[in-house]
Amino acid sequence: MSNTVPTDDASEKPIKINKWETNALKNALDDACKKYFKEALNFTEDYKLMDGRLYISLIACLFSGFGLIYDWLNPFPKSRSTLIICVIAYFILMGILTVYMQFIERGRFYAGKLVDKTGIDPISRCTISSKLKKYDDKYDLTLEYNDGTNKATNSLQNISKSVGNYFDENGVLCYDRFTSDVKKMYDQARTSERKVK
Amino acid sequence: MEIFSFVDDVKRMDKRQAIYQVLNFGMIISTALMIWKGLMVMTGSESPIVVVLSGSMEPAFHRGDLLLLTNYEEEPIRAGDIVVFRIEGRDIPIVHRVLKIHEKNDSYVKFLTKGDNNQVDDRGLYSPGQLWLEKKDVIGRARGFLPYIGMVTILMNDYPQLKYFVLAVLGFFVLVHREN
Repeated sequence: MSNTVPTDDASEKPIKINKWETNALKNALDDACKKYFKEALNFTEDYKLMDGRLYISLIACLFSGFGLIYDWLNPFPKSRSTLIICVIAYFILMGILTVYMQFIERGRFYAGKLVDKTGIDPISRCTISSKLKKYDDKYDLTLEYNDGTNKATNSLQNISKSVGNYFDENGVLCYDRFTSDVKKMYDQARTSERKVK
Repeated sequence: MEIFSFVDDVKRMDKRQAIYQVLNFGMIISTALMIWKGLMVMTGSESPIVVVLSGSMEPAFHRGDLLLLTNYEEEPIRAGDIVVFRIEGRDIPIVHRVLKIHEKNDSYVKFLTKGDNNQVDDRGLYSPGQLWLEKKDVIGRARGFLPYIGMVTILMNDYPQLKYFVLAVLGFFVLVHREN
């Protein structure tokens, strides 16, 4: 690799991915964004969205596991009614999961809050979502910022740039270029939120 | 090189992502399982899809054909039906045609089967002393079929290492591939 970056431990190594794979690109950028918010801006991550998804999946798997075990212990004709319940419940949960991911999550991969150490400023919240279409190169990052002073107003800021801006020839993520854009977006969000008031 | 990029991806996953990968794997398996159980419930048969293993029903069914079965209580077994049955003590089901039936008023049936391509009836296959089959031996009646598709199952059963290898590779890729 032609980049020279100080490597103290594994987590500081620059991220290298297959630059032709859209999923890997989006994941790398999302991870870098999360890392920036956590380390540089000191946000604490709010896991509610992700947890919701995990719980629904877990309950669905439990239903199917229960159906499997019950049927194994009581061979088929006896287990019929339990199986019907488990199968229907499983598919209903799958439907709920799809609706959840489609309408409630909506590409939001990070929700964080900034708690001011002095306790003077109210808690500000950020929700970040991203979109990268399958064979497209435009990475669209949207930041929803709420100052905490007025719960109703959210300021939305958005970067929409080609991923070629952030990855070099070998597929290595240029963390600094990306985070400088993220920081610009974040600062814009803060100032526009203040201006609204 | 691409394998190594997976490894990096995995290292970058945080705890919740990793849990989601495992749950995703579980959900794929559960979906297949629930579809199978759902078919079992809908058709009333404990094995709604079977593969023909021998050529004893040619020219109707050949080795490697997939059969869809139903086992509804209300539909009586009649001579000429193609049934899939299991002989007590053996676990491989057999697909043959019903030749003769004896039926009593309380709808107790016993029947004799024979493969279309066989010279003699199945009495040689039944357990020693058994001359007739009963309803409880029946897994279901053939209702539909798909040619050739069962060859995959036959291959997997003849070469079990192939089956485990394919399953392991598929499982690995599902666990490692991150999709949002």
